Amino acid sequence: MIDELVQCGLAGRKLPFRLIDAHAHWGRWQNYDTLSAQDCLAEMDRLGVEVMACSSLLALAGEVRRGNDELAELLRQHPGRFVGYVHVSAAYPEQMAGELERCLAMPGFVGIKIYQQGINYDDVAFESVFELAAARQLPVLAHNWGARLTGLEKMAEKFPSVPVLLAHSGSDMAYKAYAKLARQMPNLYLDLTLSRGYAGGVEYFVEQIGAERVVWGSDEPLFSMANQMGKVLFARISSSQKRMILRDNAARLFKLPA
Amino acid sequence: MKIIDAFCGLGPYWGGDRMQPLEAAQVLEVMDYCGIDSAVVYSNLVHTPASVGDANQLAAEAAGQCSRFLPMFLLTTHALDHMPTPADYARQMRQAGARAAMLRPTSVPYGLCTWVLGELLEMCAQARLPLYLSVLGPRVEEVDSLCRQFPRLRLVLTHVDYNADSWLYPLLRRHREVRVCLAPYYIPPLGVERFVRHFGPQRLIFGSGLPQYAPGGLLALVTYADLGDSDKAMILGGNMESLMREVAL
Repeated sequence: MIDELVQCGLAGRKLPFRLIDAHAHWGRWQNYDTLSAQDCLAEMDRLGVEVMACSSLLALAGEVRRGNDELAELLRQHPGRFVGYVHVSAAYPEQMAGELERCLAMPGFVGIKIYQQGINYDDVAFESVFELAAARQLPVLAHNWGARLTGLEKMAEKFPSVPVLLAHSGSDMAYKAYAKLARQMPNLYLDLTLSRGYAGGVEYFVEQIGAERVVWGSDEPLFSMANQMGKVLFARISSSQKRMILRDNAARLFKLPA
Repeated sequence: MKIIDAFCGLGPYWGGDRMQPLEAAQVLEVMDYCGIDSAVVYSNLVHTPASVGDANQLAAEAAGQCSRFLPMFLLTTHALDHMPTPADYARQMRQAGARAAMLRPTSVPYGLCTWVLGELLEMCAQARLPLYLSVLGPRVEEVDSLCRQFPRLRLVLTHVDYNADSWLYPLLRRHREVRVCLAPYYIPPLGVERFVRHFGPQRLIFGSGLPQYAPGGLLALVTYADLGDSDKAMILGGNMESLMREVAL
């Protein structure tokens, strides 16, 4: 018998619960077709996505303050549909603490986004970020690629109360490395956002660490939201595990209603 | 709605991961779970330097054992006496019921050189055979050149990346017989809808890239697309069915 959620997927129907996208972006990037807020909301409504957690692409590219401000405007205009990660860059270590304080005073920011950009995560520059995250109980979304986590594991170990989302878990087929680390550190969450949908990947993570610490994200506007959702929807795990990944875990992290 | 996975590998190969559903029975389990009716299958030996003949025999055997598998042959050049000629390939494919093929030039130094592959490509064009080509190896300019020399060739591009539209759209505008298979990661946001707006639904084909890649993401990409049911049905299976029906080997 076909799983109830798989039936929804095959029919292109909304799921019986609303999704929370834990990893998306706001802004323009390369030659991608950037969606307007209205288009983005229309897509979210069509797919049954309640909330999208975004970080700024302009901030990632280096215009940190301007990018965070663009995102703040989106959060102000659409409370309850978008939440934000403050993006800070270790390339400007002297600005990190101030930018975090400034943005976290604005409504809608619920986490911090970091990207190593040549500076490893165990660099002292990132320490203040984790200290603040620990003090305010905020999740940190950290970009990764492949099996080399560039010092993130050291920082996660030093700040065990900070939930750390390992973005692009399983990238480069390095599933075992991510699962092994997450087994050792209960504050690590495996973020499934990835252009490649490797067979058995979602099932392997759930088998290794349980569904409670696996989170779904779309990476919009880089990848299709429906595509990223389908990787979980059609994974061979139970419906309750799918719900945890697609909604409950992110709701808990962002302190949103279950 | 009939769903055909138009790009599916079968069998063990070096580099294969045990996490992947390599065996035919495992692939069938995945297909059942995801509601996929049938799959166009090639041998995973394509990922190795193994003989094309061995790979084709395995694809034919798999299809002979399960009617849900439709065999896809690997084709390569006829440069030396011991290599199959295009006519040999046509005969072998007829016998095996194969109505799709994959060009295997990317692991050899001649690339898409048409003075090496010309006879083979001519046979494919005349037979209206859907000929799969991975864009991982050749340069876009080579693909364009090949299409210019064989305008009736029904190329099905695979491994088109999610950020490829800048070169893909101009290529598709230049060559009307070129199709795109979604497998394994043609996933730009709202990309299916945009593709259909520009080129219609006929030139987009659902395929998974099993066993390395799971079908779920690409299935949802189509089932949740903001398109009518008939467009979705064409992408999910109708287009591939039509292509195979029109083959005249």
